[in-house]
Amino acid sequence: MWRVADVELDSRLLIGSSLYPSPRVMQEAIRAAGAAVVTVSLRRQQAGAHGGEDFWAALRALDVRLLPNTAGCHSAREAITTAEMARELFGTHWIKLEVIGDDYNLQPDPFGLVEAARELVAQGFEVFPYCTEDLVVGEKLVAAGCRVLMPWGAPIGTARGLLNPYGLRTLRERLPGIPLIVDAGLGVPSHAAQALELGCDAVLLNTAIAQATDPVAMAAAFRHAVLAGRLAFEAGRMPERDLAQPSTPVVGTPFWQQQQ
Amino acid sequence: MNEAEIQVICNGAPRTLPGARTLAELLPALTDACDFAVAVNEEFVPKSAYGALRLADGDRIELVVPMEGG
Repeated sequence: MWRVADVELDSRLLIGSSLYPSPRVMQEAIRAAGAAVVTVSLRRQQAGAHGGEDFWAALRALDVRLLPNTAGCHSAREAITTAEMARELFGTHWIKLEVIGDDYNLQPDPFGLVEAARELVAQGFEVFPYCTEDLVVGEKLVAAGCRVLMPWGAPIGTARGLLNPYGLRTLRERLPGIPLIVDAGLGVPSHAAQALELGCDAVLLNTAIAQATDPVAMAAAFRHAVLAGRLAFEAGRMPERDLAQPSTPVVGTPFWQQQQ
Repeated sequence: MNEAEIQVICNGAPRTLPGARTLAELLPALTDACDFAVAVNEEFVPKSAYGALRLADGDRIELVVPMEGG
């Protein structure tokens, strides 16, 4: 169990609901991941398109907490209006706040993020900001009222893992009381394990599971990786060192005399 | 165009609607979705305000539904 935004969660794996081969596979993957929180979005209703309804029905059948996002917003104003619509539509004050600053790598706009976070917190939202691993941006978001941060591992959908472990460790050191959820850029379970090993509280991912050859099996793999990573963090890792040091006792080594 | 009609943009597409009506009265013509949320001219409109909001010529309506997301 861990705690975020006044809620106890029994899974440190948060999962997206997009890009699965079908709503049924999405359902099974979410179950296999053991995820307690699932991200969703809102989009214009497409005339004649019913895929959205199937998806929504499949998701409502699961006992999960929803985390709506403001994906695609490029300004604080857009993100705030989208968050307001999401609160009513999904019946939750939780919002994954995305304000995109650059379309090439979908990098968050730190200025728009802080501006939108301040307004949404004032409106009573629990803001989960999708941010970079920049320490000062993280501190500004906390000052704006965010009680959790979601730094990226790598740009969305790139599957590159943790590009800046140092930056994440720095966030962990400097903001010890703020839950950190590494969001985006993870590709394989070992990336998730690494995030947990270095002290992040949870990970949020989507494509690495949804676009795997077998999304349900990959969801289970990520569940195990997150458990392993957290256990390793709690166990406390050994220090790195430059020189080899034998693990087998040296005293009593046979034939030792003959080598002199 | 009939004088009693208004031109609005709904989800990016032009629509002609009867004028002098509230959002609540016009919504059945705009969507058949059960779960949706609305913004007019980039401002969120809560459900409680549908009955009082009279749409005007040139209004831009965003009507959104639950969708998959990451």
